[in-house]
Amino acid sequence: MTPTPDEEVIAGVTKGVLDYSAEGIKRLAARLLHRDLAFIEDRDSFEAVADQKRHPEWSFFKEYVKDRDLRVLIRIGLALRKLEGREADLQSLRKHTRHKYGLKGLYVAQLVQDGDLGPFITTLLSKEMSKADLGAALEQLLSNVEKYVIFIQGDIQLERKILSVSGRINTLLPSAILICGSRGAKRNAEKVAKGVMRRIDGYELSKYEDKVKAVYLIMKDESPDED
Amino acid sequence: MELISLKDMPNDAKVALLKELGYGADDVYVLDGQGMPIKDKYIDAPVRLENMLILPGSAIVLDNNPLSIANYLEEFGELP
Repeated sequence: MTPTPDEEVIAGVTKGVLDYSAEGIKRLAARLLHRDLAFIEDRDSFEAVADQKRHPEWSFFKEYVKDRDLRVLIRIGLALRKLEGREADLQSLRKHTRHKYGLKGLYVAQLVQDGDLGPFITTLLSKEMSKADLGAALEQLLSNVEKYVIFIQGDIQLERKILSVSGRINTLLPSAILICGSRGAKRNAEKVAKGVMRRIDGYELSKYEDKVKAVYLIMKDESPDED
Repeated sequence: MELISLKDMPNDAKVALLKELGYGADDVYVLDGQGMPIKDKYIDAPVRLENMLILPGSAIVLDNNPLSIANYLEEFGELP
């Protein structure tokens, strides 16, 4: 039966996506070039990153972090979190990240994945810093993650770690250092943080803890001196 | 923006689309105009026909992985 004109119109719209004839392919290519569509492999993997634009955490980071590589690593950290439970995808993304950005890049992504920056950001926000200063403090920490973020393991030599971290603070005078410990290493993180505080001056210690991890923030005391 | 899954697209349609966009393909890889495998510039790896993305911005062909997507979004902006 010959289709009516109305039926042809409806068929044209419906087949706009599915029509792989030469003309159909030309239409798809034209729509791609007009930013009207994109071709993806699977929706879940793509949206693990592309949907971050609706994520409040990304909205915050993109406002304050301007360094392009750091922004990519933050996106990767959020994607790692979204992919939790999909072990093969996690391992693949970690491998790509380490290959392109090194161990330091992987640490940044891991910090974001684990939500360990929360205490630092909360403290910065409570100090009513300017947007530029807050962004600079955040970028300084992330750019120096290998020096200023200490991941504590369960089997460390406590005294050696305390001396190493306190020496680093006394030499580099960073505005902040994070000490993170998960699960069995939470107690060690606490011992290191308290041990470090006994060996440095002019810094404040804050602690944030949940069932899985403990994060200790050692931050320069910026309050004015009392005479 | 509409997202079309390449998983549901027949192989010959993928190849025809790539040709329309100025690329080519062999059985495994996406090729450039000279017949050489193109590389995903963000991970420096050849793009396989079975795991590619074609995104707006002069029809960028990338490997399907979050690192490349994150870099693309930083370079070209969020997709609407």
